[in-house]
Amino acid sequence: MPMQDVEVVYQKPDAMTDVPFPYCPGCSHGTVHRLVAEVMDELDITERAIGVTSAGCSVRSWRQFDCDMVMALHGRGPAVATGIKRARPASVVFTYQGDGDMAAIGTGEIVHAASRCERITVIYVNNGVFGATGGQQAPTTLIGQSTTSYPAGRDPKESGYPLRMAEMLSVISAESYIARASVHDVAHILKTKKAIRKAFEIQIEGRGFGMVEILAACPTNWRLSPVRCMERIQSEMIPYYPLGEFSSRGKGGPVMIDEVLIAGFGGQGIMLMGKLLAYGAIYEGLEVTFYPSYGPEMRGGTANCTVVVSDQRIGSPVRNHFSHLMAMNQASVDKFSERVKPGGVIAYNQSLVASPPARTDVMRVAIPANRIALELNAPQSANMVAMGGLAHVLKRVSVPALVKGLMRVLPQYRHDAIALNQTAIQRGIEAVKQVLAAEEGA
Amino acid sequence: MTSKGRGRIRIDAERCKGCGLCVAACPKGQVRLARGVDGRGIRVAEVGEGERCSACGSCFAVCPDVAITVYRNVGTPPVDGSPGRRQSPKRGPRHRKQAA
Repeated sequence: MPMQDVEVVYQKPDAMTDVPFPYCPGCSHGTVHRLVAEVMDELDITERAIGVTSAGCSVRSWRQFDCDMVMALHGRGPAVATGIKRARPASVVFTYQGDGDMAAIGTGEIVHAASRCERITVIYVNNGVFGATGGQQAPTTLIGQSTTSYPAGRDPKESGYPLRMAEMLSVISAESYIARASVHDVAHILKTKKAIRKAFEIQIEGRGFGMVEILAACPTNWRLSPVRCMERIQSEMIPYYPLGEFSSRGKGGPVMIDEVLIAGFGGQGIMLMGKLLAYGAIYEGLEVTFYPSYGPEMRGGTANCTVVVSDQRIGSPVRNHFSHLMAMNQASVDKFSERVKPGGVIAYNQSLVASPPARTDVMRVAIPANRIALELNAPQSANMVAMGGLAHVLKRVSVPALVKGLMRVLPQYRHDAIALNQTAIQRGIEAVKQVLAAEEGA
Repeated sequence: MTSKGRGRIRIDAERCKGCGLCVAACPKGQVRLARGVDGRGIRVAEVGEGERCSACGSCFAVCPDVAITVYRNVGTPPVDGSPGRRQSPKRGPRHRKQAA
């Protein structure tokens, strides 16, 4: 009888090595490993993925994934991942942690990684016991659950209540994707994979922090057969640890976020520009953060400020890379040009910049701020000319909103200068319009 | 090994630890644990007598040791609505390759 032609429909993902799992029979770690590897295959990120392993049963999971892996100190996975991601922003960084690692010794690290909204993905496997050390009670052990350290079961009077990490982390920041899933049956395994994929996608798109808590079985320490373990997840764990998405950036459209760096030297009015942009954005109904950085001197030293403008709550006022740079002098062009994201905007004060930014993957806008200010017979208004130009390329803040902002940022005795400043802003807008029109014509 | 059903599975007896999750997950009861133990003292999973595998992938989905490979007979329609079918869009040459 001839062999029938067959095709493979399901097999071990490429992102997994051939090393057999070291886990006990029925342990959910293997299932979660496979789901992570499948997501890596589907998103084609194995080459640039860097995993961070934790202490616990999954301590040697670096042998299972076919990507670069780092072994962190117990509980410090999110801190190590933070460093990796910040040093190599193009990589896709994930941690793989159990509840003994993340919800016990590493509670601090995960909370602060979530609060900083690090662009990392955390895979958190919760089986409610310290598996590797012999099944002792964990912070996630259910009330009444018997463990080797508390054979009579967890007593909340003595040991408190099980930590719901997903709920805890979900209230920190709107820029996060926090979900809880389970691997107790086929349908839930597929949902878990979707959640893991989403958590990776959110990192890849630079939109936020992602954490997926996965309810998992530990047949050895639960003293149950693998099949009974899956029933226990359904009947005992899920009622206490409800499944679902708790904070989801995945809902709705993409997030509008502009990260603006305004830089120059002290005395150019850099802080005033930042504050004015921030107030203008507030009057436009947007979320704003303003983060100044300057030396002790009011004039002459370097000064810069970061203004983040978004239509949603902002995770952090501190940015390493920017969508817009407003460089008021040569030093700022030299220092910060490399920090502008590809496709971003570098606006620079043409009057004081002899060698314009060299980058070609960004939009470069020359604003002759000082020259226009001199034409207005008000050399001190060069910053407002630049402000107008920046507002025009930013497209978030209108002139009326800026004028309203001027009333706020200028002291009462300077309010007579508002009309002049408005003129300067207007001239800046016109100058940028001319530059853009000329470029389009060219 | 041929099959009268839509597909068949292959179980890697070296990866299998005999947890039995695939036995419970197979909607057609096609997987069972071996009667005897292997060299490690494990009753590994094996394909039963029946030939009714529909290549639904349930056993693959629950297997914590990724010991199962699922094949579908070329020319047979996919199982609509079966778990996992639409959720595993495996692309690339490796997933298209014909098994011997």
